[in-house]
Amino acid sequence: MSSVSEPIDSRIKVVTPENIAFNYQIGGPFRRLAAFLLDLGIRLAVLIGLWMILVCTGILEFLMSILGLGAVDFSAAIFLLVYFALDWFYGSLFETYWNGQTPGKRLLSLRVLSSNGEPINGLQAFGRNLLRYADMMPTVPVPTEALQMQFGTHPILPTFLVGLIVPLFSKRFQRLGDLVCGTMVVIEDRSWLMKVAKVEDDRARLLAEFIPANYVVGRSLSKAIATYVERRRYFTTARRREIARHLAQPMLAKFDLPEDTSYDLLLCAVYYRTFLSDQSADRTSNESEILTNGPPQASTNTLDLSSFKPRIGN
Amino acid sequence: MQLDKTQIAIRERGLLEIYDLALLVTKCYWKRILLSLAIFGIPVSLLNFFLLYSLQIEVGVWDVSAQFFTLTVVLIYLEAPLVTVPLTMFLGDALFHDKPDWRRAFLGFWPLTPRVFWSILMLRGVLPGIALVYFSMFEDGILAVVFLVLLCLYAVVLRVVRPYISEIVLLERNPLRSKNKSVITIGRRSSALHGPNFGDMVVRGMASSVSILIVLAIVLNIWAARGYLFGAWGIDLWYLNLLLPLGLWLVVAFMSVVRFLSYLDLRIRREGWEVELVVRAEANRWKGVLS
Repeated sequence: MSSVSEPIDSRIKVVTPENIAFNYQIGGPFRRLAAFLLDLGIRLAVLIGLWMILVCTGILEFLMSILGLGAVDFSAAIFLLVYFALDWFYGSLFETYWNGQTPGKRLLSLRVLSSNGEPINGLQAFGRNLLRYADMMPTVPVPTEALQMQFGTHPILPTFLVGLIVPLFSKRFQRLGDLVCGTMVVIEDRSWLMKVAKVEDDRARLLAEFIPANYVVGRSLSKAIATYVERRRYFTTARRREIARHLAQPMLAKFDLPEDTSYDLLLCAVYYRTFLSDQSADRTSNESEILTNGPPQASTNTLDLSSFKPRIGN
Repeated sequence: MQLDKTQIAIRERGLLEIYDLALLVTKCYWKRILLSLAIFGIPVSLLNFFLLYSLQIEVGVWDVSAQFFTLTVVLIYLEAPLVTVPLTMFLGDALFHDKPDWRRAFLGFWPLTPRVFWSILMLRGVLPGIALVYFSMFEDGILAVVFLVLLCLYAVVLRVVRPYISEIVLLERNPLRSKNKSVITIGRRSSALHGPNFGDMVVRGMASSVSILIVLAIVLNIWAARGYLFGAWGIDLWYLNLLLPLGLWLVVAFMSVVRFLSYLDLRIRREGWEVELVVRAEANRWKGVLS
């Protein structure tokens, strides 16, 4: 057990040589295993595709007749050559020329970077792919009598246990190849930042007028309310009420508002007052009479809010 | 305890990210995870030892060893929900506290025992599974074997479509049943949480088959390590009684951490749990200011 001050997360901060800090989400062993399997599938598909082209176009037969080799020997030689080329250069060439990505990594939004956040170079790409074989260790013989009889020996299986355990000792989930070559694998974050949520319900804007003018929403409260309002459209009406209740009940008491005021609407009103009160929800100027002049009996806080019900949608 | 200061970063995550995060959580709390696993794991392993005792005399025979191996895997698979009860409670406590505490984690466990007995031991097939393995040891135990196979199929389906029963029972602490329809019982909460996410549950259930690969990697490595180091390539009683169950329980522990994190993720996506934590934490501060 360890006592942690920062929450456990796969996000790290990297400061570049230019002294610019980036937050990266690190790609862990399971995501990388999925990318590896995709790349393996692509390599196999290329291997089979090339083989079919050679056979179907008659090139294989032509080459065999020229070189005077038997079908089995020649096929095995071609297979081994192509397999060698794909296995050794696929990863390193793609990562060099695709800026740290292979097709599998691209599909899973992974990218290899230097540990300081800079793009990797060809040497790093080659080195980390070369050391991939170390991550497949240990290899174990398959304990099957039938296979032994078939092949005369036990087939060997890579177990990837080194690739699973070594990254655990690094904050950046670096495998052996990454540690040696000074690289790391990050997840490209393509999420969109939330804009300020719109408050389309006019009643929220009306209700905002009943919040005392001298009431200043603190930093943590404004953050909590913003979190709620930005996500509330995904919740059912009952769930909105359940969540908003915790903050709305003491607020209603503090602002001296009727107890049956919609909790959801109240938080929307506070949000409106905090973030949007200088503009209307549709980003046009506030020319509405009611919004300009305020509620007719604002000084007494007696607006009937009992009929307020939260709308579905934001 | 501050609700918005969790020890594990709370946000929506993808499936693969959950597995990677589970590695970090396991690394951070590995000692306590092993301890919480041992609470029920050791007694249950002893029980398994006695259940399969009659097979041990003939373990050198290939068929008997295979039967021993299979029954060990089946027993551990069926017993996993029971053995991971302390682990789930520990993780629930560790989520909100900088220094997890056993006493605090198990506070209020006693009133939960009837719910644990019914929802976990019975409905999840733990006790029926143990009973069926016991009866399958008899010479005319073929019927018990048939029912054991059916029970395993039932357990697989249940764990795919209702994976978070343990978390609901142990962490949410909803009642088992209630005549009042407005009270959220275990069944109602389970339906509300699992029902709308059926497709997602199936995908996650299929993804959990990665545990088979991890089991294979660990079990094969233990076997090969003994072979390389001591030349013991056979499958003997040490391997079947100690090393194999140990490897399996380690994977059970890891998958329980994955399940716990998946449960949090589902609550975040389905119920906006992270929003509720932030709002409740702010409400607590407000109450402090007002009082």
